[in-house]
Amino acid sequence: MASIADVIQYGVNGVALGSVIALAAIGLTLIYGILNLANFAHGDLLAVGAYGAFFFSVSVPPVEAAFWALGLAVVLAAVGVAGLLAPPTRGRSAGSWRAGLLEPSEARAAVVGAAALAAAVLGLSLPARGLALPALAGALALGAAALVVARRRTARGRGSDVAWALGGGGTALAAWALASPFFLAAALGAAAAVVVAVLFEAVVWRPLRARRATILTLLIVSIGVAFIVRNAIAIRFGSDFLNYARPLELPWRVGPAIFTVDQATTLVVAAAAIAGVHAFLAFTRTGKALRALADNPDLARLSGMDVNRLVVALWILAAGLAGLAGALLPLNNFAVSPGVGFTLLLTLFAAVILGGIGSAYGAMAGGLVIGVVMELVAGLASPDYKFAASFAVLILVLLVRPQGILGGRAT
Amino acid sequence: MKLPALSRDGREWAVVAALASGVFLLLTLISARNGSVSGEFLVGVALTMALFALLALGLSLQFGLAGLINFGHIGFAAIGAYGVGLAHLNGWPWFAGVALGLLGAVALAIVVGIPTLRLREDYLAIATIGVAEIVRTIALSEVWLTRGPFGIYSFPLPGRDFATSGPWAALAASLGVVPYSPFFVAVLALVLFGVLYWTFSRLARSPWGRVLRAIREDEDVAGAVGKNPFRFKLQALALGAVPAALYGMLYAWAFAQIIPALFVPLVTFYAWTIVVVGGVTTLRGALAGSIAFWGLTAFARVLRLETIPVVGGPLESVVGFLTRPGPGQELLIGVLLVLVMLHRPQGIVGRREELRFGR
Repeated sequence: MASIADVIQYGVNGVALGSVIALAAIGLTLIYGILNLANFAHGDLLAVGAYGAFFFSVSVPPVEAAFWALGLAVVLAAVGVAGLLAPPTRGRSAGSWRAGLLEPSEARAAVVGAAALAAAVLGLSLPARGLALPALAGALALGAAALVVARRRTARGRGSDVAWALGGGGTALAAWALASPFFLAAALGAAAAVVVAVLFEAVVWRPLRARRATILTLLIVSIGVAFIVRNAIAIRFGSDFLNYARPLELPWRVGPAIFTVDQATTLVVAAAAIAGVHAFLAFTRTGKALRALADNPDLARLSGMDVNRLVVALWILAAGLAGLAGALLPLNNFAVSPGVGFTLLLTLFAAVILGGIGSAYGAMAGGLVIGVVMELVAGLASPDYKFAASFAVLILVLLVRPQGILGGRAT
Repeated sequence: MKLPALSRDGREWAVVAALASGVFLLLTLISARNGSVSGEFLVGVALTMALFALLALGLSLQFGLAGLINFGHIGFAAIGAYGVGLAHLNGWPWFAGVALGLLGAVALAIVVGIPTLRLREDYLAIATIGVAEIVRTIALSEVWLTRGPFGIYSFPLPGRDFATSGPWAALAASLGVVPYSPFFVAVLALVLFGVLYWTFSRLARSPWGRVLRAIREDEDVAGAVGKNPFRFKLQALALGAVPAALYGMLYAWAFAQIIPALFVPLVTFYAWTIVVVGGVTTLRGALAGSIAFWGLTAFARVLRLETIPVVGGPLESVVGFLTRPGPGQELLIGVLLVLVMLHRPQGIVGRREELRFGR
């Protein structure tokens, strides 16, 4: 018989696991709601994130990880310099959603953000700790500068989203690299997931959207995409479980519950990312446009939004969060193999449907509930039924409240 | 001599027949050139083709006719196999096991269908895959009932005596094939495929089939003329579970083992690839897709590409990698699904004009 303390501990583990599920489910629900695509390949974006983080932190020597990060910085800087050297983009109206060259402030933010990233990498890879700390501090300062540059008014009226993303991204990377090299690896893993998602958007999803493919066609194609991604990972990294060694650290005791350092890290990162998603959806032009697109795609198209550009932003958001969630999986005693995406997929769908399709906040709540249920079932009944429990919740929700707890649209 | 013009059906059957005879003729010729024609190998290929044609037939009915996406098809096969296995473990006669498997699969389909078929169409896909995983988890965990990962082995094969003595044995011997259970099961699977194909295509042409197609195209219109879409879809889902359950039983009999690892979701997606490649708009697609898919992997085994000068070595390693079980073959499945859906959504024998629902 489990004691009250045990139940509380299962609850704590559940909240940590649930926050990872929530992160991943946000993208799945937005893609589902906006593109009408029940993306069976979403779990595999988590796998890309996990393997990307593994690649950049464990399997390759730090020098090589630094090389890749520096490469990213160089590309970022090149884009920025190209944007600065290009002729001024006059004649673009303030409300235009057309894709084009970067605004000057965006270009400057890119250059400064790249410098921040480069300084962070330099700080991490310098052998002498005495030089490393000033370098990292400089990275942080440069990142802050990138944010200030991004705040500059542009032709679009109020600091463009791209500038914010570039400046904010550079700052976040620098700050994270300062905290732990793991975060740099996690961010690079998330970036890898974004690259994969945008690639498939260009090659598969955009052509299918253009011919107005039905929801059933999209489902089958997403299975194909899942198989491609999963097995590309298996071919590169092997089919076995990842040996993602983490340093042993003393856990913290809070009342009757025990938090491991990894669980605390998970909670902090997930909370920060969710706050970022909220800020993005609530305050930025792109975020507001995405919500408008989710509400009424035809109206959004009629009011002159470039849907394809918005969808790319959507994939970047969804895949970035999924990749980040994937990188956090090993911190929660989660065995990561190339098939991890499939293992988690139904759990993610359970969170999405519980929260109501298309509702980002519903997915967050649904993810937490599912995580707690899974850990309680694993602890009180049998670990064998941990995942079956989330499927059972899914079917229960379909029976009782198919529109989800926060959703009102899905039928 | 002028051949009589073939009907549309006839033409599609001709494609399937040409595909089948072409594959087996080429396999025999290539094996002969390699120095040894192995009846065992050819029977093995035919067995796999027949079993997967049967499995895919259920999906073809559910998706092609009714527009239902069932991603948990293998769950129904597991119920079929464990029906036979439980009968053996408890000392019941084999036909009790068959009845248990068939009724269990149909019952499971109804249980999954009731909460999901009234809702949006993609919920079924998510729910079926979840239920199939629950079935597999139970089979794996409840060792007292199913022997879990240890599996059920060496149970009597119904009709084995019939296959090893009597007229079949003489016929098989005259064909140069040693009578043994895979040959028998392959024939049995083909016979069952034929029976179910005939039944399903009769149903598809019946008023019942027309209502299902109408529901597939526009559920509201079908509902407006007084047809209850939910009931018809539930019937199609339950009916499609029958060939899956039979696949499970035949697989158990052919390989004399029932273990949970046989019922992983991957098998469902083999069947989906077969249906999509063969053609989703006709029940024939299941057979055509199975012959094409397993024929392709069989060719890779006998072709000996490495003997071709210069390019042979690398070619053999790439083709072999893509057709052997493992990441390579799964990658091929993914690429096939995406490419066929993007560029030839009607498949090998499908009709493009019936594809309004499947753009």
